[in-house]
Amino acid sequence: MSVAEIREEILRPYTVSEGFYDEVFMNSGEIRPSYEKLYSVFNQYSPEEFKKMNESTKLSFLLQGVTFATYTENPKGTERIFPFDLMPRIITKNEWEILERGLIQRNTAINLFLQDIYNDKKILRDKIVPSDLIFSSVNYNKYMVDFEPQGNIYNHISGTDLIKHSDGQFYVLEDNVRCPSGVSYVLSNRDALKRTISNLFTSLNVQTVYDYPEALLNCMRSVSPEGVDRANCAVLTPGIYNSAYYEHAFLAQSMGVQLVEGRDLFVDKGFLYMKTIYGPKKCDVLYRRVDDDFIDPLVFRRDSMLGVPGLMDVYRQGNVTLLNAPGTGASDDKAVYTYIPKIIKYYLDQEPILQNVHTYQCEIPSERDHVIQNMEELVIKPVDQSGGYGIFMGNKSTKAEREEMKAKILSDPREYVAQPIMRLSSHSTFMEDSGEFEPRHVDLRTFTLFGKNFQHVLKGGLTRVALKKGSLIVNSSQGGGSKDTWVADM
Amino acid sequence: MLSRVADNLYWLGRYIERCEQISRYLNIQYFSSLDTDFELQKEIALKSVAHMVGLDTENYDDYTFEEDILVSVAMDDEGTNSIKSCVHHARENARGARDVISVELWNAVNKFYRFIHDYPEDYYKTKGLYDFTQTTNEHCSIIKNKIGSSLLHDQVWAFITAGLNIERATQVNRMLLSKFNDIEMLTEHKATKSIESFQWAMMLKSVEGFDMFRREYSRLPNQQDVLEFVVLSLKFPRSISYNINSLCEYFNLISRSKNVEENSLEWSVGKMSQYLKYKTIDEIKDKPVEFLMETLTYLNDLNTLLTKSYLNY
Repeated sequence: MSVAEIREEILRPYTVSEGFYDEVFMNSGEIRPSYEKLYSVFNQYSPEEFKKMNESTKLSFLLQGVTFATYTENPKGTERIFPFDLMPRIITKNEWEILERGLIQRNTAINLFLQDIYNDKKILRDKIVPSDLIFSSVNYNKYMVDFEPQGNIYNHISGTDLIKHSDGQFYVLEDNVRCPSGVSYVLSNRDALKRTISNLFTSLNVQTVYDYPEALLNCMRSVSPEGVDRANCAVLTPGIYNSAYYEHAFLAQSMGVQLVEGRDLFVDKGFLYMKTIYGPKKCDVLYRRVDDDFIDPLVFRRDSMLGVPGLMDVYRQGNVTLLNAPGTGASDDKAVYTYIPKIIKYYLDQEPILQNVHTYQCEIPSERDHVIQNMEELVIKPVDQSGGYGIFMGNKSTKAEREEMKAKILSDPREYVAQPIMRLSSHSTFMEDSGEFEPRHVDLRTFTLFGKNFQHVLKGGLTRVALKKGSLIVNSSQGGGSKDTWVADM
Repeated sequence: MLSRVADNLYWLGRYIERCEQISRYLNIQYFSSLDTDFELQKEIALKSVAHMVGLDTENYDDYTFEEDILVSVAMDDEGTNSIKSCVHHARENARGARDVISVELWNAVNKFYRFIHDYPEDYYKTKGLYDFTQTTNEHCSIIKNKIGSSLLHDQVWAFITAGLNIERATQVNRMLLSKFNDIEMLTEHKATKSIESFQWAMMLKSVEGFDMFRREYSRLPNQQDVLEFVVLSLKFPRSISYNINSLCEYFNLISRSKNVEENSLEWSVGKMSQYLKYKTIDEIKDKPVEFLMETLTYLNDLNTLLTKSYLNY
């Protein structure tokens, strides 16, 4: 018997839960063809070796400060690494090409929609989307009405979330077009994987992700204010205590632009300036990672210390470009989501390439009744919350919780939508406790960039993993981890 | 460069240097005092450390005196000048300037922070003092290497290095003042001349200058020689004069005006540097403490002027 045969294999077939799609193994237990090469490389390692690699990767993230802070347990903040799994998720090149076209189609339609609802409002007058739905949204920003941003681009950076359902098809779960985060993890995950399992890269032709910062900078420059030749671009962060500060600094550094805070900026005579050691310097394009509510205390939240007084005024005069445009939230809440297929059809006269997950709107009486009668089979979500907060999982709920939810829906139907419990696909994931690979549910956050005559989709994205067994919630604030995602030639 | 970022860089330099000076002083004071036959030596050594970092030990309990001082100087989360909080501040400042410094420098600062942050306090109090102070020093050396070799020598580098130099001059000044204070205490307790010489040797070791002092003077350390070496030498890189002289270069790099204007930063530091260059030990030796206090005030004023000129935001 050869050594290879007696050695215990670390990556072994497991039972895939019924009704779920596993990315790595077929229900018969056979490995999927796209994972065959990876399978053989992984099984060159012993469980001990693998454990060691896993440990050293975790340590390297900690030492590099690739961390996010949480303030729930300790008021001074506990720093955590975003758990990272060494086994990459593979998307074949053919599959990716369809996704990429679908993402560009969907986000193009969303951009046209935003332009329309803040200007001509044709889609509302044609009653494709009910105007009540838009005007009742807290995210509809009245300061954006009758204003066209530079190049008519609103959603410069979109973080569309996709899942793979039990039928093996990708569906869109959410459109994030405000300040989607996570892209820095894509790049640091890739780095970590290159350092540890470098021999994998030689056997598969993996598409690069390192062009993202350059693409983002090109995107920013393409929307420079009129008449500005060499735009001074910057990234606006809420500061070092923000949980995504690592990402803000990373992006500024890798684009070679300044990382600024609100207190570094001021407005004078219709222009935006940075306070530098040699006096004021004009700032032309701002990738702001501060939410709408906080960017300008003169027009939005007056108690905000994170923004710049007068910024919106400069913006409306066209003397600074903001990425993303304020008010994009009116297009990505979960109630508007339902209408995206119709929106695509309306503006582009095309059939949507990426499908929506069927969504019930509690606002519509017949759908509300259906939701209330079938709560156990549904996921109920508040329309304007992110980060996995406020999600009601019907199959895990108690009777009392269902009653409570029912009362909430009846008192404010506009606030809630419901979807069938989506069968997020599972993927082999190394579990530290058992020292083995086990299936865990995953989704995929993609990143699409739009500028003036400029489009770019990051090849791959961030695969988020629900580390708790059986859990379908992948958000990092709820105990999720991540994987490197490979678009690869098979 | 943003004024806030310049402020972050300057204080990154100051806090790193403060960590290094405090940890070395603590190490030398503590371990040199272990094997002397003068019984009050250890207490005086600990008080000296407290004096240097500006700790008020009036209300310290006699029984826990040693432990309290050791913890306050190194591990105190709340204290403004403990090594732990200095590293914490250094890292916050590095984070605030994350986009203008190199990954290598950031990693070195972050690694240092993790080391201090994860150091078990109980171990430190009982067995780890040497390891803790020594490793702290090594981390500081690595960080300074990254400052020198992984950054462009432009304004970013100049602000960090100015912070390092101003802090170094300040801490060396404080060490000297602590030493005069120690010697006064020792005199009250009728200590011998050899103990005094021992104190000056400790001073030299605290600035890693003992061996070079011997090369320069070829005799046992005494007050006057040590003072001359540590304050006025233009060859010894930890002397006060050397550090103030170096600042001229950094401030010239930061300033963009060709002429040195009166009361500007370059003017102030150029004047002080020339003043120290022509100062002789004979002018200082009779009233050393007054002289040191004046220099310390000058360094504080310099900090104010720098802040006013570049760092306000």
